[in-house]
Amino acid sequence: MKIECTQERLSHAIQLVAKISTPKATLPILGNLLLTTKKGGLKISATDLEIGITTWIGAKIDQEGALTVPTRLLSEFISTNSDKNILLEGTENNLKLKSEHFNANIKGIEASEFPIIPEVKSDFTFSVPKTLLSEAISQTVFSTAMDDTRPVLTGVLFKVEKNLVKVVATDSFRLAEKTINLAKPTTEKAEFIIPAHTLQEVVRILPVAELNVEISVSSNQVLFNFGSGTELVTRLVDGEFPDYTQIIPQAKKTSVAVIKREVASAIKMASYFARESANNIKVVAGVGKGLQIVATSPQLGDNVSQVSAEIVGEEIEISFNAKYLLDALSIIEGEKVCFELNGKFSPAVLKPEKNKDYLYIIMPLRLEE
Amino acid sequence: MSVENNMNPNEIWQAILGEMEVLLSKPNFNTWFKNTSLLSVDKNQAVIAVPNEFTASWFRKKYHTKIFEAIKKHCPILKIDYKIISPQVNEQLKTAFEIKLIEPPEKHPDKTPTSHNGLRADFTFDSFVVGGQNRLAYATALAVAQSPGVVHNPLFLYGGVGLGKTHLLHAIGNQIFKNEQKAKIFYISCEDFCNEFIYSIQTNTTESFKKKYRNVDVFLVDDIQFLSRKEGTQQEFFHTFNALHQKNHQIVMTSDRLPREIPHLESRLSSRFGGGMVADIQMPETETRQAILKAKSQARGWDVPNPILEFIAQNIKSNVRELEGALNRLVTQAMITNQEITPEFATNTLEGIIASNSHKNFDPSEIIAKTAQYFNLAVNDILGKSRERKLVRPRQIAMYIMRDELNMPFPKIGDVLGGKDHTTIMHGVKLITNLIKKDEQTQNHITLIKENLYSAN
Repeated sequence: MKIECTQERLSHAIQLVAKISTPKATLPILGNLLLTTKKGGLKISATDLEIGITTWIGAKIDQEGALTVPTRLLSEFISTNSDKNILLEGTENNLKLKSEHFNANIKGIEASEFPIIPEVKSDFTFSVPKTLLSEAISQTVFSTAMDDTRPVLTGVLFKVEKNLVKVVATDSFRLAEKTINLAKPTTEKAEFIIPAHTLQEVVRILPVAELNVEISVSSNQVLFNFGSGTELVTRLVDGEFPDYTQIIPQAKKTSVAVIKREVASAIKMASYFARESANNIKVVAGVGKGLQIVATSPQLGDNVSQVSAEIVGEEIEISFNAKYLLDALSIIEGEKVCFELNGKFSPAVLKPEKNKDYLYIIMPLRLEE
Repeated sequence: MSVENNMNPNEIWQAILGEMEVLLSKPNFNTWFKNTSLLSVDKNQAVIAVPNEFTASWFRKKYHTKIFEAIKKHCPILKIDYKIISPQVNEQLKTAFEIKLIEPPEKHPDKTPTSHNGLRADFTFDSFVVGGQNRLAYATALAVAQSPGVVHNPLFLYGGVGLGKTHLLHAIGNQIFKNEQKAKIFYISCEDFCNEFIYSIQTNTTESFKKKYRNVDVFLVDDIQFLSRKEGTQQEFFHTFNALHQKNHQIVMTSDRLPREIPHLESRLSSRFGGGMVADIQMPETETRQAILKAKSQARGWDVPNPILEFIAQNIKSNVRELEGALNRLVTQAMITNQEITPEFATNTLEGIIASNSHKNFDPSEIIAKTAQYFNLAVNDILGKSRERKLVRPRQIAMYIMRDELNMPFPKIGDVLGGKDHTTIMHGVKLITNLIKKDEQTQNHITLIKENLYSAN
């Protein structure tokens, strides 16, 4: 292999894929990047055997070839190299790098030892604007379960039907659902669960993606095509996502509209007082009286905040885990949010006042009184 | 499915695994053959279960012929099919789903009671002497023991050696066990946790290791600072921690320093450790020390006069363990020699221990000598006037130790250091005092020099 490309492009490309590389894996080659000449450019791949990622940059190819080199060393050498162009000359297991001021040899492992990144033989492909995808992931992924006793809950459900994609995550204490409207309807229905960890990578890559991202789904893999040669393949979470629609409250006994910034800062303040009592805060909604956020701690003291609100329906006193509320308030869009409550022990809904495309359901805490 | 010979698919696969393990390097074998199995085999084809698409592609490309030949030895097949079966699929996937209320953790009536897993019965709240320096730690520990998983989760106790961290940890375990015999309480020292984890990797039993720790109701970990630099164990501990914390199961840890001060500990861990309640235990004051001695001697049925206890309490200030040691030594010595414990007898018997506890028994010149020796310098380098950086820092450390250990006045330190101005000394001492808080290395230097000083006596 003998190629020449700009330091800038090469450095960006390496940064994009390097994070998937796992230098501490049992198999040493998983800490390497695979460099392959392809279509008049350089293809760079990394995998941890769960996610496989590939990107491509244009380069001047003098001789075709492929090899793998340790991700960390290559990335460090390229990112600290200040020259404009870099020449890469590879034999089977050695990469010689040359630029105006810097020379280096990096020992590698031959390309045939690198795991094959699976191709997704797609049953179904659809395209999503990257801004909507990024938003949908950021607004749901935090609600996935951390522990793996229920594997399906460690992923985010994508439910595609006609021109709607519902993106859903829950850890069984709260649930977030975002609806994406597609410009043109898809031909088929599909439901699949993507690991939360993968989606965090996807969100990281999205800023450099082209306007629309293509998602292809097979029975156990999904492929994100970000355009200009960057692709990510990942396994899907096996299993069936529970029917979550049954827990979306259909009615509302009390509805509370508040300015997001105000209620968020009141809850934040209360959470400082609730540190010792499992983040337990009380929300008191009195019709015509506004909203009261209360936190009491036997050790620390107590705190009461008044937030002006438009309240319709029954008066209510209800307790929540402040963290769960703050998680959602930090990502909900719009100036005003709306709480819909159905009594002390029933799921509560939090949503933006204007948009109908986002829904956050949270279970209140049962207080021992 | 019919098998030609008497082996079932599982036996055939075990034979093949044995063969492949010989042919491949260990990392290769462990990476690719984990979670594989032979689902079925008949005259036409063998179906092999692989955990993911990566393994399927790799088998097709690299090991297909080898596996094919190996199976043929047992059963004449024509082809191999690979089927992806995620190892995670289990019963729970099928259970009906609902968003549940977050309530205090359930007690599990059907679980077998765990014996006092590693808990020392004599370490209880009753036998813990409370004083000003450990009241907070005591109160939080008691609160945790009364309602585990509810109030302070995780609870992080820290303090120097021999001040009662482990005592409180055991007391929590004992108390919870007393209240709820069926609670699964697990006490482990961090070092044992690390060793067990390493062992589970060696023997390929990480799954049962995980299961064991993620199913306890109360998890008590002693000396958590040993996680420092153990990345693999940190990762595993992180997951265990999350699994338990998610379920509101109580976690209590002890350490000799604050979470954020444990070196080489991932920040996601240190922030979690500090996420509940952090309580410190400090050296108790003389009165409490005396109360501790009183309690200990009563518990053992010894009759030691109060003035003697007071004498020990006043002279041994380093930690509670040494305090007890001194008491034990005194009583044993009295029994052996059949003497009454008088103040004279106590002074003579404990002379050695008290001397090493006193900070005032070495010479400033010794500090200078040991500091010079530690940094591989000549004593004259320390006393000299050169401003070379490699000399200045040791000189300042010597100043600091003189001030800290001997409480010498600044001008006096200046004199013994070869006639330096007292302002120079003040600056040096202040600089090191600040540096210790930030710089682990300086802290280590000083600890080691002090150790040298003490051991020389």
